[in-house]
Amino acid sequence: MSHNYICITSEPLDLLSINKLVERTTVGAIVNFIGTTRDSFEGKQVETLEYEAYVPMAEKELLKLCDEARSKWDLQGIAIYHRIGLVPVCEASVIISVSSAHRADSLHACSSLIDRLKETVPIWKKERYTDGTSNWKQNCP
Amino acid sequence: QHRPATMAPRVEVKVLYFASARECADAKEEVVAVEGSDGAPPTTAQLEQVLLERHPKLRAIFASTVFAVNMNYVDKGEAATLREGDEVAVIPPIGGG
Repeated sequence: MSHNYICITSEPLDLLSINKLVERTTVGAIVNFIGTTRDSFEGKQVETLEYEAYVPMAEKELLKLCDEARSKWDLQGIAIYHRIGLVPVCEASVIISVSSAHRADSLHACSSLIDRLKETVPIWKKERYTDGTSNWKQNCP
Repeated sequence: QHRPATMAPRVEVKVLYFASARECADAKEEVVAVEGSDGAPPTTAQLEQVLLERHPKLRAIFASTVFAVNMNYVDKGEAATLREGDEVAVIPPIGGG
C-alpha cells in the first residue's frame, strides 16, 4: 500500500500528475509543498535559479527521508520531485506530495520532509542575478 | 609480507566535484591517486591534501565542504578509509529545496 516516488528531473514539474501518484481510495488527505523561485535576494533581482545534484546520492537520501517520515507518521504515498537545471522565477523547483488517511500525518510529514531535504540532500542552487553576478546559495546550517 | 589489495597504501579513487567545488577544480570528475602514511591505508585526510595541492582554488571553500565516500557522508573532522575504486564526492554547503 505504501510507496515512495522519488524523481530528480530537468523537466518542468507537474503538480497534478505528482499528486496522482499518492492518491488512494484509502486516502483522506493529500498535502503539498511547492518550492518556487523568488525574484529577489538581499536587494538583488534574481533572473533564474540553476540547480545541480549528485543524483544517485540525492535519490538515496530522499528515500531515507521517506523511511524516516514513515517511522514517525502514518502515511500512504510520498512523492518528492526536485528539478535540476535552470528554473525561472515563479516556476517550481521542488514538489512534495504526501497522502494519509487522516490529515495530521500528512501535514506534519510534509513540513518535516522539506526541512530535512534542505539539511541532507546533495542538491545545490545557484542564483543568477540580473546584474550578471551569481551566488551559490546555502541552506541555513 | 602479504597485504590484501584492498588495504594497499596507495589507491586510485574517482573524485566528483559539485557546485562551487566544481568551479574551483574546473572539473566535474577525475581519478586521483592517494597514498596512506606509515603503512596505513589512505584516508580522506590524505585525499584532502592531494586535492588542495592539485587545485589550489579549492582552499577558499574547503573549510565548509565535506566528503561523501560511496554516497555516505563523512563527518567533518573524521577521516574515512579509502579503498581502490571508491567514489568520493566533494560536497560544498547544500542548497536544495
